[in-house]
Amino acid sequence: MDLKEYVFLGKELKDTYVVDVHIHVGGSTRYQKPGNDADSVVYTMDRVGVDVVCASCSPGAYCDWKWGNEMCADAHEKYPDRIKAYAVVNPHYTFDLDAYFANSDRFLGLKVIPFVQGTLPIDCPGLQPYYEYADKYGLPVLFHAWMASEVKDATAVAKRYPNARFIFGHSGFTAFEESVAACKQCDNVLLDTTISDTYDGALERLVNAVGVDRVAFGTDLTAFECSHILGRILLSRLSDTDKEKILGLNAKQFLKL
Amino acid sequence: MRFIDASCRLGMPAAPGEGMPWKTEEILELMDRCHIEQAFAYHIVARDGEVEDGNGLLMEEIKKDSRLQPQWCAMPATFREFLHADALGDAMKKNGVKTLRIAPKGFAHSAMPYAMKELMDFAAQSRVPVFFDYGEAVGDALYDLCSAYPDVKFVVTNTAYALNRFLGPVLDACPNLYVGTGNYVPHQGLETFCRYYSADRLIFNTNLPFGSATAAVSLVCLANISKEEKEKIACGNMERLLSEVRL
Ligand SMILES: [Zn+2]
Repeated sequence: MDLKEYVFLGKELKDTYVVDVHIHVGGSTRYQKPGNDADSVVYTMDRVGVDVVCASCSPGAYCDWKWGNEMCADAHEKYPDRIKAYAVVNPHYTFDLDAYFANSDRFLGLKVIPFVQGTLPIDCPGLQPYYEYADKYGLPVLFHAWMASEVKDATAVAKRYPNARFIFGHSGFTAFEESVAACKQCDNVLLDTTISDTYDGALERLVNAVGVDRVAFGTDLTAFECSHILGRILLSRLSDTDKEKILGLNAKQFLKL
Repeated sequence: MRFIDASCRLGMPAAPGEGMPWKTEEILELMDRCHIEQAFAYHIVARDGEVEDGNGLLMEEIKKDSRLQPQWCAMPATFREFLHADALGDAMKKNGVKTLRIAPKGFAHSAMPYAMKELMDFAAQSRVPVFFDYGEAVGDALYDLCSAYPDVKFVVTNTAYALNRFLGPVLDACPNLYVGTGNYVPHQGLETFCRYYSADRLIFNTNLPFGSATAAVSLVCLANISKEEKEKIACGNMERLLSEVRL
C-alpha cells in the first residue's frame, strides 16, 4: 500500500519505522496543551503509528530545568522503548552531566533553547561545557533553531564540536538559506520537520536543497498535534523511499537507536 | 472521504515561499492530490489590494474550473466605498456567491454595530456564513464580534494552536461561532473539540496557498473521532450552512 493511503484510510502507519526526534512533555502556563503526559503521548503515537519519540520537557526549559528533566526521565522510564528523553540544559548554571549520563540510559541527549533562558545566544559561553560533554561522548543535541542568527550560531557550534550530533529544530522552514549552508558545512547536522504551519512544497524544496538523508521527522508534539506534519510528509510529492528515510531511517542512524 | 475546502485564497501573493503552489492550476493539483472536491476561494486582491476589483478578478479566475466557488470579501459601505447591503445581495445572487469574508482589522474599520450593522443584518437575514481569520478578532475581540451579531454564522479561520483558553469560553457563549480546521492544531484538538462542542461546529478548510492542504486533510483523517464526525467536518457541515443560504 502506498504510504499516502494510510492518511485517507485514517489508519496508523504499519511496517514503517517512525521516529519523532522533537516532542515535548509537560503543560504550559502560556497556552493550553491537552494530553501532555506520557500516557497521552503514547496514545497519540499509537493513533498515527509512531514507534519512538524523543522528548524534552518544555515548561522546564522556561524555569526549573532540573524539575522538567526529572519529569521527562520519568516519561522515559514509564515507556523505555517508546519515549527517549533529552535533558534541557541552562547556560546560567553549571551542572555535572555525569549525573544524567554516566552509567545510565535515562537520557538520550541534550535540548538547547537559551532563547527562553534570558535570550542568550546558542553559542554563549555558558553552554560550552555542555557542548564539550556532548562532543566527548558523541551525544545528540537538539537545538531550538528558529531565527537565522540561531542557525548561524548553531552551525559554528556544530563545526567546533564535530563528534557531537546536532539536530536543528524548525530551521529548514524558518531560516532556509542558513540551514542549507549548515548541511553543506557540517556532516554532523540533521534538520527536522517541526513547524506548526507551512505551505505545501516547502518540504520538497528543503529535501531538494540538502538531500533526503539530512531531514528527519519532528513535530513539537504535545506543543501541538503531530498528524498534520506526518500527513504533510505522507501526501508530499516525495517517493515512498524518501518518505521512509525522513520518517525514521535517518533518525535511527543519526541517534543510534 | 469527500472534502469541501470552505476557505482558501487565489491570486498572486506579494511574497510567496519558493515552490509555494499559489497558481490556480497548482491549487487544483493539490485539491486532486488531497481528495478535495470543491473549494471556496477569495481573491488576494480583494484582501490586500482593492475589495471590489478583487471580487471581480475572483469571478474571472474561478471560471477556470467548476470546482472553484466564490467567497467575496466585504466591508461596510462607509461613504459608499463598498456596496450597500441590498446591492451586495443582488450582486451575490447574480454571481452565485454564498459566502463572505470580513477583515475588520486588515480593512481598518470597526467591527462594532455602529459600523457593521447593515452588513451583518444582511448576513443574518440571508444566512450567508461569514468567514474571518483569527488575527482579525484576537482574544476579547472574538467574543465582541460573535456576541454583537448573534444571528450571523461566523467561521473563524487560521487559528493555530495557542488560542483554546480564549476560544472555549467564546464557543460556550456564542453558538453562532464555527471553527475552520485549517491550522487548528492543538494536540488532540479535533478530538477534544468534538467531545466538548460536537463536530457540528468544525468546518474543513485549508488556508491555501499559505496554509497546507496536505496537512489540513491529514488532521481530519488521522483524528481519533468517528467516521460520521469526520464526514461532518470534511463536507457535511459546510453543505448544511450553504443549504440554509437565502439570497
Ligand atoms: Zn520544540
